[in-house]
Amino acid sequence: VSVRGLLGVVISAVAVLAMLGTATRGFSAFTTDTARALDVAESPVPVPPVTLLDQFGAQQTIHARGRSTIVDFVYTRCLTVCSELGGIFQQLQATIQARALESRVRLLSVSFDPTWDTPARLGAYNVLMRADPSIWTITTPQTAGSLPALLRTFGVRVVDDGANGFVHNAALHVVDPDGRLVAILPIDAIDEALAVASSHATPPLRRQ
Amino acid sequence: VKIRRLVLAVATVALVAVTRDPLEATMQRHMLLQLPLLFAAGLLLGASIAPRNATRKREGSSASDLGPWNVQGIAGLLLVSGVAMTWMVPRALDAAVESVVVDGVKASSLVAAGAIAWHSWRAASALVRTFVVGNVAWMMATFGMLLLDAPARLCVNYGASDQRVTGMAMIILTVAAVVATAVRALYFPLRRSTSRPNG
Repeated sequence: VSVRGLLGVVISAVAVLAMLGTATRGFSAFTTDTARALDVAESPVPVPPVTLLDQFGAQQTIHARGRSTIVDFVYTRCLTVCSELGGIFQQLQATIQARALESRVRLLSVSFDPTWDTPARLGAYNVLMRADPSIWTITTPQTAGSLPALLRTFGVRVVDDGANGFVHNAALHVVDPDGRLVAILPIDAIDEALAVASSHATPPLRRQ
Repeated sequence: VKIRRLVLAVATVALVAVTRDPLEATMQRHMLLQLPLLFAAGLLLGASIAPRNATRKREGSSASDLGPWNVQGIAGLLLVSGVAMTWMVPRALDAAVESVVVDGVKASSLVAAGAIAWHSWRAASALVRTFVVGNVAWMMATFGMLLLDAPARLCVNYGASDQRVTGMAMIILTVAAVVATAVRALYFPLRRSTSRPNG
């Protein structure tokens, strides 16, 4: 076999490794979600300053003073992954109560379907979820225009499913008191989400 | 240069460009229709470029100018399978859907892979060809099973049902291709490596 023949194979192999390495974020991530989670864990991302409305129409922000926030994105008509997420958030709420983490961690649900999810409809969802208002706030963006940047930051893709619903990815997003997204975790990683959130909380100066 | 094949290749690429939205709307159309169309356009492009020095004296090595670098087509076929593997990575597929630039890179790389494959395949011996077919079959079937079995969605742009349909189709296509290859090998034994001048 000639030198050029061998060299051709070597060059080709290097090119293949480079292509696969680029596609997989240096052989660390097979999916877009994993890659985003690794990016965020390496360097926290500031969350855009979006105004949210709760069930009473009161303005809310994504981050909270002193407390970390575990955020999920839902739409209340959803029957599949969101109700699963709802169950996960109920477990999170129960665990926060059991471990007395109320002063360090709070929960925030954000609707990505603000045209349907008005504050009034959030009220019904609140009752359904039995959300404890001191821990769990359910919100919708004040203006739909703020949604794309928000979803991009959190790595959430919402695709119309062609049947009056949405296909979307679900995760537990941890935002620290300074409004930085510090972790994106799988929805079943309840303990890890609470540990990360609690570790980023700063003890509040004064209880509100 | 064979004009008809070249025109057909360009027309195929144009067709893929025009139908980008519908073909990328579902995973099965994207992976099983669009990607193969681009590769086929590449094969046509490769076939339209007549190999130089295509003489029987150089049987067993590529007839193209890159022949000495692409002995038995191995380097070329390795590169081609690398391109195929890259666009099976869910993250890469997502990026192609979300960015026109990445989609352009995808299309060019697949067309180039097709052209390289056409020339490399002609240079390959029966042994190399068998290896490539076996390798591609293994890769496709594994990826199909992965899609069929994945507990969660792998592409953020496609639903879980898309994923199962695509996985099942990949497994069926692979089995069909393996059976067809076996039948062909039994009833039409492979001739020695081909280097018919000017196809």
